[in-house]
Amino acid sequence: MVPMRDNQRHRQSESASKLRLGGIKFSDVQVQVSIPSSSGYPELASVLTSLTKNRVNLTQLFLENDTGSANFCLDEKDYQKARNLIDGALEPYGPVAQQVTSPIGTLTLFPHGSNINVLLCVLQVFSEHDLPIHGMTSSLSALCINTDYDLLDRAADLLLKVFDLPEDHSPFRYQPSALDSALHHHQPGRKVETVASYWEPVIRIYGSNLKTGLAMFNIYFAKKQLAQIGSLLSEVKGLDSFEMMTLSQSGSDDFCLVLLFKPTGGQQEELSIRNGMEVPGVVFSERSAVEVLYFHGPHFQDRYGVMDTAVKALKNNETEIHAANCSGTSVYLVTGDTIGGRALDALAEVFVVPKTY
Amino acid sequence: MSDQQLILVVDDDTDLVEALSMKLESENFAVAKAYDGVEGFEKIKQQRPDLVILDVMMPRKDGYQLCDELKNDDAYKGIPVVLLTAVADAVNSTNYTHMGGKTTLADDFVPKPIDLDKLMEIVKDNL
Repeated sequence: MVPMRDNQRHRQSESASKLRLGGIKFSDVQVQVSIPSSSGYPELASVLTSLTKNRVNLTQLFLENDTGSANFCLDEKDYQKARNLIDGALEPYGPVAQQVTSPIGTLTLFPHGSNINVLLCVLQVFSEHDLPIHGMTSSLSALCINTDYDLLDRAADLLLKVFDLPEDHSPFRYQPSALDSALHHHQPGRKVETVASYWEPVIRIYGSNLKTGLAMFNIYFAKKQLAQIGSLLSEVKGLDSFEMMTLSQSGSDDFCLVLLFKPTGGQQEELSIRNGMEVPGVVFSERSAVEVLYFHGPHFQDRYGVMDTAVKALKNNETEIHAANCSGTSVYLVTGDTIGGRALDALAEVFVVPKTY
Repeated sequence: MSDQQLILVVDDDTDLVEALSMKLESENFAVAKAYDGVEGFEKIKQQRPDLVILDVMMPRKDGYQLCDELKNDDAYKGIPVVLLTAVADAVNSTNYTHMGGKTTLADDFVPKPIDLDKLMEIVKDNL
């Protein structure tokens, strides 16, 4: 049974039990790299700087401070070049236990509408059918699930038992437009310019937003407990929407779920009580006062060095980041209470909101 | 609800569609969303928006082609189209330049990265 809330305000299709989405996308073949990081993420900062200098793009990045895990993804075709760069960047820090997972594919669902049920349905489907999750992030509109590349179609088929798409939705895999097919007919397989890899000295963004008064759950559990965690969250009263989430591997058999939300009172206590009663062995921590700074810009996945710039600016400002992710065209940075404004000031030095034309 | 003007946003950047939708809804517009030109044209036929915000660089059917189809169809040529053209300054090899966008029959143009406030002005000017 897919966890559902009676009082949840969400779009319903004509099929009463399905949630409505706008679409699903599949990525190209990806490689996911996980590196442990000390406080302040010096190892990650070193890697990001090296990749940016060498014009290697990351398609995704997510990190969480309590476990010190930093995860990022890149296209498989970029990985061979990146491999040596990553090793070189980590060398000053002694032996670093990297975890490399490949070939993976990112399945992107959109728009999630900040609806917690969308997230819970995804967790339910993947756990019920033993589909691996190597990592998961959210952006302003999308949930991005990293799974085995050769399981993307199966995952989509299973998700479509609980989600509905419009009749004429975009195809899951890229299809070129007529113009690009005509211009590049001699290069079969060349991808159309929906992405445009480039670098500029000053990063232009659409805008930034600071949300305060949020709470953050960090839940550590065995992978086999994923379904139970989903059920647990579905029962917490008032937990109807989320601001940001990440799911990352903690060791080879465990997950860490980071969930950022606007508390309406009592969620932390309820989850803590339920957690102890219903899912033994799960470690739960919460921060009751955090802020999230998020910004959006064009082509974030292929404008080189977005996170490198952000991490450097915040490091110089000595701003601690509890969690972060960069996926789609969104960047989210979670800070402590009252710190978000300082982080915004630091980032305003390196990111520019365009003026009127 | 019936007094609200309907804006269709067509872009394969799903986060931008969401950001634009939130901004438009805050200005009391109703919003429909599509993620490529094929889906966009279907939504236009089904819902007849009052204005279309249309990205250029999209798979399956790009903004140039959709704009051309709309402006050459008597049934739809009266719907204002605001074209979001490419990151023109930063990309030196692209088929989708801001200048290229200006050769289309769109009613107005905004180069990316867009200023959301400026885009709202353009939307209101074209309604």
